[in-house]
Amino acid sequence: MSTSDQRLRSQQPVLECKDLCLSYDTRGGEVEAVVDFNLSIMPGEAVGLVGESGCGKSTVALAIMQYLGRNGSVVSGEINFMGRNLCAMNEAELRRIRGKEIAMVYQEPMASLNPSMKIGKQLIEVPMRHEGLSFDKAYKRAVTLLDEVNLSDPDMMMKRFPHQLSGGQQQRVLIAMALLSRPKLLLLDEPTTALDVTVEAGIVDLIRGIAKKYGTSLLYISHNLGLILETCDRITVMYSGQAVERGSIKQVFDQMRHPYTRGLFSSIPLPGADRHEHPLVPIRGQLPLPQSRPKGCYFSPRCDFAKKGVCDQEQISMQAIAGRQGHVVRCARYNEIDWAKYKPEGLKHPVSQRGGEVLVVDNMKKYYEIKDRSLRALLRGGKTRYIKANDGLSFSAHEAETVAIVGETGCGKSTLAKVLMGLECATEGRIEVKGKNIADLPVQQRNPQMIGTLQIVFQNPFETLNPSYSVGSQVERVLKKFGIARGRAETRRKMHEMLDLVKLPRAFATRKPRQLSGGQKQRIGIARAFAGDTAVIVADEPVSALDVSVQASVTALLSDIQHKKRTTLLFISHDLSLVRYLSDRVLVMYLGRIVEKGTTEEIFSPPYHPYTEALLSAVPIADTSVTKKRIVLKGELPSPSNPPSGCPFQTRCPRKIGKICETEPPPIKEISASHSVACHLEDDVLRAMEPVIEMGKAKTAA
Amino acid sequence: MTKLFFRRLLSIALIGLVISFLLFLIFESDKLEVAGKVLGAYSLPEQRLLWLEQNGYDEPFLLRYFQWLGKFLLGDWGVSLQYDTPVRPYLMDQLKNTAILGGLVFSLTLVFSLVLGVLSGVFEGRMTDRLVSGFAVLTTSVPEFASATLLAAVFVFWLGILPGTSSFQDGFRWIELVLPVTVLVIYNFGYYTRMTRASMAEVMTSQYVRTAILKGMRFRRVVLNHALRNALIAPFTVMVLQLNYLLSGVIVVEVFFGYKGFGKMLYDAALFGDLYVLEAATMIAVAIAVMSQFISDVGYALLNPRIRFS
Amino acid sequence: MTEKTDDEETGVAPQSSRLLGLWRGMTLLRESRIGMVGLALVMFWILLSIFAPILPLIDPLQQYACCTQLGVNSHGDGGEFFLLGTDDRGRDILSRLVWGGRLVLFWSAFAMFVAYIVGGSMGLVAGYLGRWWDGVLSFLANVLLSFPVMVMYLLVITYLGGASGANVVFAVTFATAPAIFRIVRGLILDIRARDYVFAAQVRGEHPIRIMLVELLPNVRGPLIVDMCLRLGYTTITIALLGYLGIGLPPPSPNWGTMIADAQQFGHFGVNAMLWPAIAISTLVLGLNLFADGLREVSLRD
Repeated sequence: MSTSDQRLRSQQPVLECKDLCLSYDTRGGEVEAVVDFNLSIMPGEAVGLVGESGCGKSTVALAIMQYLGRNGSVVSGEINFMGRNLCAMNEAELRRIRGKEIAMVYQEPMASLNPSMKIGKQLIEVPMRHEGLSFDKAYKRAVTLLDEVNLSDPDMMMKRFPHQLSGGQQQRVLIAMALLSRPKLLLLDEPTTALDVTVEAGIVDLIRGIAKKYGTSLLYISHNLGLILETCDRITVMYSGQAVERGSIKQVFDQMRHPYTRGLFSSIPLPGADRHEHPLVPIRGQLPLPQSRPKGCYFSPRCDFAKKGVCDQEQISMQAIAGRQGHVVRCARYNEIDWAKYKPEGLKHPVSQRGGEVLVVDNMKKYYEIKDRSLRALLRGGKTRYIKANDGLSFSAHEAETVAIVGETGCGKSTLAKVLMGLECATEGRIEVKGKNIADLPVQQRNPQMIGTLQIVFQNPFETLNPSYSVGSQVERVLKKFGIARGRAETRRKMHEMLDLVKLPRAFATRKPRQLSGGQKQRIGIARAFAGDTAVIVADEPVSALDVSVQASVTALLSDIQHKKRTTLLFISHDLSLVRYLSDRVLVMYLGRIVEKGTTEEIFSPPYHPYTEALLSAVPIADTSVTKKRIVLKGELPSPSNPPSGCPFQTRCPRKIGKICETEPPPIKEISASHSVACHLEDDVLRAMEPVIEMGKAKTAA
Repeated sequence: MTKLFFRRLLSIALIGLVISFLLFLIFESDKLEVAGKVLGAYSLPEQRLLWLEQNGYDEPFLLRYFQWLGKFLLGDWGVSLQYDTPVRPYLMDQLKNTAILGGLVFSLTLVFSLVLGVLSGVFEGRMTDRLVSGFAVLTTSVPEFASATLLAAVFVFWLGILPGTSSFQDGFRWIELVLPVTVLVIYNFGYYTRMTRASMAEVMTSQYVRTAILKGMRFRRVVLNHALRNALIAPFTVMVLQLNYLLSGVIVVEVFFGYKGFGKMLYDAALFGDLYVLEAATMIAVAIAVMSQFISDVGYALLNPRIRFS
Repeated sequence: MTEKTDDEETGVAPQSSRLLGLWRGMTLLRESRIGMVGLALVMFWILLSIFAPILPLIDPLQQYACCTQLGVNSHGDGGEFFLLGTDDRGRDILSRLVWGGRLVLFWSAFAMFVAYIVGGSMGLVAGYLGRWWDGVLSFLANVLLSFPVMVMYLLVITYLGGASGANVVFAVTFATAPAIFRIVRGLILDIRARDYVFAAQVRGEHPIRIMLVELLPNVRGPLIVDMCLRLGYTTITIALLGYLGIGLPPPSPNWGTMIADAQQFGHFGVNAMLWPAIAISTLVLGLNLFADGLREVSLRD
């Protein structure tokens, strides 16, 4: 690249969206997906685009690619790439830009790779197409790129099919594919949303490296403010099709001006803070549908500062904030709001005094047999192997206590939930609920009262309710089944009480699940779980599928009811920030075993188990004052059917001390009466650990 | 992969065995009726008993089944009661005729429906698609005996340019194949086309096709290299499976046009009660069906790397 | 759910909401033009079949000796007018067409119903309970699917003692239940791991209740579409069996038999053959288009 070329590039933005309006043609008429959108990205710059689902952020990316489908179109405005308007280009011109000048990485890596084509072939066609490279040269280039995205054994990787790779590997392949022709601009659309946190950390590291190494400009689309902080220089916040605030990371994160941005930050938990210091503040109301946006400011119905006659009149335009270069905000009253005085009432997390032991799990094992039915196995006498989904779990939970179970895919937390619910029987060990062993009592053999004491809240709001029946009848069914209510009138009354409990209007009883939002469905799921005389609730990632502004209120509701009913809550989650807010004690699981357990305080401060340490380091934190130690795990998660010998974590452990980790199962070290770590590390090493997350000075409101 | 191959082979063989046993049960569990069929309706009960004794029918049922199966596998299929001729050469002759008909129909349908189905799936919602889809739904709605009637009315009785029967009275003539082949292609074409279209349209909206387009690939290359293979997995397997249904169409068409083939033979044998022809013909039909299922299964695994490498 | 006070309380009567849902479905279908064309064709035949006894039709079995020449529009000796002509025995084709349609429609709907009960319940059990249930039932279905359909018809009907309505239903069930089994099983497998199924399991519901109440209603959409298509195939099958002379017994009119009867007369039979061929094609076309329309509308939602 010549120097004059570089100088030319530095003068003009790589990408510039000017007054962009995008719309979709639907049966109900034209829907404006993105309204009055401006964005510019300079060479080598990384810009974040953040917002909740349905705010139009992905539509922007597809519009840049000029791939809006047959019913999408650019209504007005321009998208200029290196000074040329992409909207005015024909297909042939676009083909020369796509994949060569602008490349994209997608949210679902598995679906984005062609299932019947080898990785190599999918990679080499890019440089062959765009640069006319020969097969050999293109092959070499592809291998180099695979190496640069830190995939081990690239030559082998070229010969694989997508389904033979893990999610993290697939996403690395897609990043390599995007970088093959050295694009000037890389669009990343939620590239880590489908991945586990520790895998995410690796990908984020890689993405940050790209911008530095190749001078590629990035547009990073995410709903996660923490990830934007870690990867970007500037940020644009979107709400309901509009950009509402734009500025440098520092400006927006430390001195946000738009009430929505403020609301977004207040509703996300930070792992450094606990619930009493920093109560969560949810945003009230719901995101408007594109067809029914309010007049004036789209956020005004949900805004505490909205003023009649000011906010609900005309379209509000972006306003530059005096004295802050590049910081603009779409708010009519941004100058009038006194943030220092604004102390919204946060969600109260009542402190419960814990009672006696309700749930005791003692050395519980759940093995799944995998039968090898091949001819060879039959001849050799058939060695059956086992998947050790749960390998000797021991813990207890008290009345009115929240115990969090933390771990990533394959750690065995879902199996634990299934065994507790009686959908599977434990292979070995005891599970006592209120003194009664239920480890080998399948749900069919439990009586209704027993079943009612142990219930579950599911993860996916779209699957948790049966789409064929009204919400009310589904709650009523539970009430009848557990013998809580008899007769039509009583059942109906109790059902209405349950709706009151989860703060939904009684009129919702006749609605079908599809007429409810995700958060409302989760509330019904919670009502259903608490319908019986519940002693223990298992909450399996109850809010992970919800938007951040909704997460806070659903979480608060859950812990509020739990407090009132003095229920034991087993909170299964991968989100350590949320765990810190919600739970009293934490179990960290890896490959079917508990590697560390302790009170929330003890888990979040040293000494750590090396895996906990890596998990903590991987959590993206949306706070500029926080400094973290970066630990990126290497290697892939071993298969539970063939776990490593010795310590299960030894294949990826950054603190591995030697042979002993591979041969001996780690001893359980009691750090304190409530805190234990399963690790070979010497006590003094453990004690000498430093905290992963270091909080800066408390932020003062801007 | 070899494991999968042998496992499918084993399961197919098992299915074949079960079906052959069922057939034997239907045909030969009533010994007296067998004797009645062989000796004629007016034979005396004593004659029938004597015949049964002479022909080894006193053996246990299971043993008889295995003897029968063995004889079938070795090619000893008995003598036709209707024509008094050994079944095997007669049947093979008819089978050859049907193979000509079926082969032509299958390959023509395959070419037409794959080409048109892919085109209409790629250009979903456009004019090409609407024309092809409309034509396809129309042709699937006209069963063989109806389209045979309509075509015969036009080309045989009205225009008089095609022969109305295909019995090859004056030796083999291509022109006599035109109507039977057309009728079968028309009916099967619609189903295959609709399926290919659906599969192609689905693949065209998949995320990996989007990836390929946004890599800057030419549209033709996206369709041919990325979409086609994935889109053809489902139609291919179903088409091979449909060989089974093609056979029933073949029976109708052969009866309608008097075509001397396997289907007509089977039909005649069933109506006449020509036991040994019927036994052999059903066994052959089942063998074809089972083999097509096997090919379809293995083909699916071969086309789909997710199964091939797992 | 039907208590008056309760309904007043919530404002919406469940009954009316169900009717409303049906109405909404119909208005949705109106947006699919091909769906409406299909519905019109199907309704045409259904209405003709229902009202056949009260329509001013000539007795379909009455033979008019004067009119045994095929394929002419003619008048009978009693002054009757044969709009579509008469067949070889001097019977009114129009009347036979309508009565034949009634017969074919009734038996195919009945046969499909039986096949759905058998195949559907097997699919439900295999899909939900899995394990050895699935193994055994799937093997059974595979065995039946490997039987060439026509061979199965020939065998079932010739070996069950000739042509009769019951035998036709039996044969159709044997031939189509395995296909229905596969469809239902696939659909159930798809939703059996949904959380609401787990929710029902963890509150200790009986498997039969889960299958019928939790699972079945959620696969009704694709099944209704399949039923429309399958009714078309069954109609074809029943007419086809009639054509081959192994279906519903004569002399009652039947589209397939009508074609077979007229075919012997070659050139002269064309008129008598053509009408039933057109009849069955329009009916099946109507069902296919209707199914397409339903699918299109349901995908939009």
